Amino acid sequence: MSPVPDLYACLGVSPSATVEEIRQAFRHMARRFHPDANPDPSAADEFKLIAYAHDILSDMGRSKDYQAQFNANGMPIIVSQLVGSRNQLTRSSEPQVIYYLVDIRPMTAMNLPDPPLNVCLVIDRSNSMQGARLDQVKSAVSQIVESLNERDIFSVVAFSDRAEVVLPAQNCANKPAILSKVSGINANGGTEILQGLLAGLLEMQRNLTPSAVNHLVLFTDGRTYGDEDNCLLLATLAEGDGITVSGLGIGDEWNDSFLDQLAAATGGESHYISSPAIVTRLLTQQVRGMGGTIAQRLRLQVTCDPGVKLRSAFKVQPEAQPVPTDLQPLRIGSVRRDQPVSLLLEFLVQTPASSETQNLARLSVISDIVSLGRIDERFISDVVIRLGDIPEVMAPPLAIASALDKLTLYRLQERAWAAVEDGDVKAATSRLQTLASRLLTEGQEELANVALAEVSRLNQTRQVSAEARKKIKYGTRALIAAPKTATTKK
Amino acid sequence: MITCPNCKHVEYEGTLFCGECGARLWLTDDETASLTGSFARQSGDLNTDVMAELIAPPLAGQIAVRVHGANNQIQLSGKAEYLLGRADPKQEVNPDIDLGPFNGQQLGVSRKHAILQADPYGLTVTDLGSTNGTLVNGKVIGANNTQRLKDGDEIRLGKLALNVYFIPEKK
Repeated sequence: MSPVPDLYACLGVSPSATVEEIRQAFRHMARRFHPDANPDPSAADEFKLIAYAHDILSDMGRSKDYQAQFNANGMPIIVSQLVGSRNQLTRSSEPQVIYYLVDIRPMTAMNLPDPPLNVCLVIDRSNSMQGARLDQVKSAVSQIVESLNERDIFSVVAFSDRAEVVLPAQNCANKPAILSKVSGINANGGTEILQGLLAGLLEMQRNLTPSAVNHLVLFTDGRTYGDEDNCLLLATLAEGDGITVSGLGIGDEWNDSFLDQLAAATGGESHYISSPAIVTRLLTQQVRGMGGTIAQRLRLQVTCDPGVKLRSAFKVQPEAQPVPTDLQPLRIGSVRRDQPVSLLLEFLVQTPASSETQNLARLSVISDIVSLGRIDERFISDVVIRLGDIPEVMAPPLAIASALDKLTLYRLQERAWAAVEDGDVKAATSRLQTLASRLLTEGQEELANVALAEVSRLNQTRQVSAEARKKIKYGTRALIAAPKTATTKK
Repeated sequence: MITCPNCKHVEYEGTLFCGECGARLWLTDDETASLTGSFARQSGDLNTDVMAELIAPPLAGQIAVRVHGANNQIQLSGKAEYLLGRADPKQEVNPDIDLGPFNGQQLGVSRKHAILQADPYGLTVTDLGSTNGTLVNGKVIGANNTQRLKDGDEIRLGKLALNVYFIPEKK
């Protein structure tokens, strides 16, 4: 079912606008978003909707029909709110930076039922999983099975060099039979993620519907060789089908940047599991959290006005994660009932010479509302800023300042590793030292010590430990997410 | 462009933290106030020259105040502070901006309601423990509290609303 798009918001007019106002609004929007005037790749998509809005709203008869449909459709389910780091930009020949915190949340007082789940667990069963790691996975599966209800569909795939469907997609009526199947998983062989991913996605395809939460959770401790690109391609296809892929890595062998990319392709999460002891808890939490999903396949289409560039995007809530900006619309994941999603966007702006205000971008939040089976609902908002000649003195809003403060630490460690890879030991050690002292002032002694240990390791061996690198990367990342106010329980 | 006071790394204007060393590139409200106040500045991690670059240039021009519903602006210049209130000769209260003629008493303006103070970095408003409170852009600032103003901000004294505008000095 397709929702009725908000054509008024699309043109920036009120439902009571006159034909003349609509015509003017269309001309204004066409100047902003016509692909000939706006080089942003997503401008064409926005313009298509704008042209459609003009067609409908400027025609008396069709406009009336549309208005009735629009009113029947009701309020949007997912809405967004913006806070900027500044209230005003300065007219200047030099580019300037402005940050926006975008909060995406379900409308308050929304009372949608919990949607059914279609979940697949794809488990690495390579040799190195032997022992505590695999035991923890098994106990996680039994807890997950206990928590599922009769509408939920669950499947389990185990993979090494090849994949085996341990539990074909089914509801969990016969719990003992499922548990005995899962307890039979043995560790053996290497790690080929593509095999497991493919088998898992095929299991999910059998029950694919937009009215269920479709989520694949990959759990691995190893590095896959040669099939990364195909895995990413598969994830992109899965996103198109409405499947989210999340990745959990354990130990120090697995390829974190690959797992990050894989999850980012669908807006899924990627996590580092530092010790086997927390595997059960993390896996169970992952699946339980899905119960309160209001919207999935959440995307944010950022269409910049000419002179404006989106420099970076970072999800700061509910979990902290970089969002690649080369993939438009941005893939954000899902929105749960009691957890707003917050994104920090960084724009680089060239101001026009004379004008009172400047349009920076149009943000379209696009999502699938699971309980209603409604796909591609769109919520449009425009980012506009005032221009002035005198720079304003204003401390940025606390939420932006504190998120960026922590994000800076994360970026600092990224730059340290980049320097290591370039062989620039001097730059790497200085960045790690800065990071360590900043971590100390944040009260993060343990992480600071890990960073300092790497400084001395670098000086002696010109190398860093893979484990420390992951600890610091995911440790600084975890600092960014604001403390959770409420955890979703099913 | 702005230069990080800590490591001299250059960043675009508006950047909040240095990308190289993570140093903060903006001033908290307290720091801005202490910079301009008579008391000594607390130790900071930013050096003064750079700070001067980071914050706005002085408010060199005039200030104009427009009471809602009034036709004319009231222009102010030449003083560092302006008292907002209602004139009462019996109690020797002579505000710089007398809101009595604007129906101030009925709208709940105190005799000494609030004070506007110009400093090298702009303008602040301070509530003087007024009976009906002071709001900036719809937010209560609290009795005896100070808030920094931006061009065009709306101040509400009790139920009387006015806007404050900065008029830059002609070059």
